[in-house]
Amino acid sequence: MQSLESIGSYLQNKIHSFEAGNASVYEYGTVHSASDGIARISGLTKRRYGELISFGSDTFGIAMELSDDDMGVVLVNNADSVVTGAMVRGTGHIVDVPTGKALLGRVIDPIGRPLDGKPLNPGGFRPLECPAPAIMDRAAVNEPLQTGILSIDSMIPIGKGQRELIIGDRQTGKTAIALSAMLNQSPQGVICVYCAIGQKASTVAQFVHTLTERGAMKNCVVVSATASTGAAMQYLAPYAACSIAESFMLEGKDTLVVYDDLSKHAASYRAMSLLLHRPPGREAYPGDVFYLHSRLLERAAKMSAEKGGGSMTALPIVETMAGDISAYIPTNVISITDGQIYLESELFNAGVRPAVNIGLSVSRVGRVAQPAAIQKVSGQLRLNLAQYREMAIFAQFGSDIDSATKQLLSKGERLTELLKQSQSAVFKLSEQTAVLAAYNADVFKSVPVDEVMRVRDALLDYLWDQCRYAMAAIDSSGALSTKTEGVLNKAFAAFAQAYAADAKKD
Amino acid sequence: MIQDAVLKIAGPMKPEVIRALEHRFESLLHDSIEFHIEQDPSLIGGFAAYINGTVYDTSLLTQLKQMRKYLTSADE
Repeated sequence: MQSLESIGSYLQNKIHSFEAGNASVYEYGTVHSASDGIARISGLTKRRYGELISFGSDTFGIAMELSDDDMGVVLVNNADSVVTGAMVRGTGHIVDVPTGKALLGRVIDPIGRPLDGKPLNPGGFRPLECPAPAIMDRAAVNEPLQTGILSIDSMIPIGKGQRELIIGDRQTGKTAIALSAMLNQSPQGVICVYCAIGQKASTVAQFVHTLTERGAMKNCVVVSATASTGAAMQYLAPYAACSIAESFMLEGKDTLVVYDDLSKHAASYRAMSLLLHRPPGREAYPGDVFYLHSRLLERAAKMSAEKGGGSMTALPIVETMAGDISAYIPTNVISITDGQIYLESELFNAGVRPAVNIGLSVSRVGRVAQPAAIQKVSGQLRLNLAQYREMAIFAQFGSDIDSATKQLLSKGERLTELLKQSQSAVFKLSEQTAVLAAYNADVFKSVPVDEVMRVRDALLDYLWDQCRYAMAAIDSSGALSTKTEGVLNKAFAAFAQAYAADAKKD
Repeated sequence: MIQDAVLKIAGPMKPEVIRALEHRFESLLHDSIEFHIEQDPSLIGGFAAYINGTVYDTSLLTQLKQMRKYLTSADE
């Protein structure tokens, strides 16, 4: 009870010591036009670029264009409640988002209002626009970030702190890859921030549902600016997601942030810029559209040990039109990121899912961070697949092929099958290593192509059953010791024998 | 003569009080003022004078907001 009394007297003292000033004096401005989500305001001088402007009654805008006599303000919410002649005031602060543990498992909008109907008590706030970590505060990318997707983790490995672009036409499984990557982070405790820009609300709801169902939502934050929100909200969304991830990164945690997708982000910024009468450039995008994305993606980093050692890995998504990766926004983002995962609709329609085009996909820094185990077994994979794809085109003409080419084709076909994975199914490091080691040991050589996936899954079940310790050793150490390799090879031989016997019986 | 002076008040105010306010602001700003009166109950009490791009705000609403900020801020 004493503590209650002391709180009471503390408050009483504080109230007594509060001095109401005679009058607070501040600046105001007047709305003289408002259209298409842009308000022009006269009277407010000395406002900062990007400052939040209050229109009263919970309506806000951002000062995006400052000049001597008036100001262009992009309305963030309630755009239809703004009337000409209304008096507005500057809030003196730049747009910020709530941060901290309270956000985990939540869905919020870019200005930090919860969208899931529950109250939010954030631990702090962070401005949307922050400078990227300095050179000396960064460390090299040297830890793997496993996506759980065999073709990516083996051939296009991603490291913590890397920016890896996911690019492809619509309906090629871009979001599915991001979803798998997010689901696979949950056991490792990596915090994931998913940013939906200009998407259907139903798609976002489905995404959140999947995360919840798979138990991964408790480590995730979803920042959503759906297609029904204005261009300003969509423009702010990735910066909000970035600031949330950044605050976790600065606490020394590993984070993954997915921007889905940056083409819509660029389009909303284009809409805003054109309405602000900024001169249009290529494809009508404004001149600073490169900077729009470079300053966002530059904030992804692996921090040095002195700075807590946290990381922010960014997976931006860009949608192409008819596979054209040389359009304006795709080339921009490709040049900013440390590699790209290129998805192709031809592959997708041919049943190769994930539809990763290995030839056009690269990871510029991830190889260093790849776990030793998978590095050991994936050395020739890329080359084999490239050779196969090249030969497969020739083989289509039905010309006579020699036995070496035939072998190459048959190995290639089986490898393609092995790399197929059903949506949101994730492979552990040990499983990926085992599958590739089995492929290298020619376990699948005599398996019919359409049986490969089934046999692969049977092999994994067999391995977890028969050599659980060897598998667990790979997962815990990240390496493939000669001893473990021996155990696996023995198991492969036994499995192949059992399979051959089974096949004979049928 | 300042043209666009607006006086927002919470409730009805006697003309002589308004006249007194005008005099006070005239002597403060060295210019003649005639207020355009707007009633805004959300102010709760007091007034807010909008003159030449500056607000002179004595409303209870603003004072309460300041008090909230003061009470929720940490001690120095």
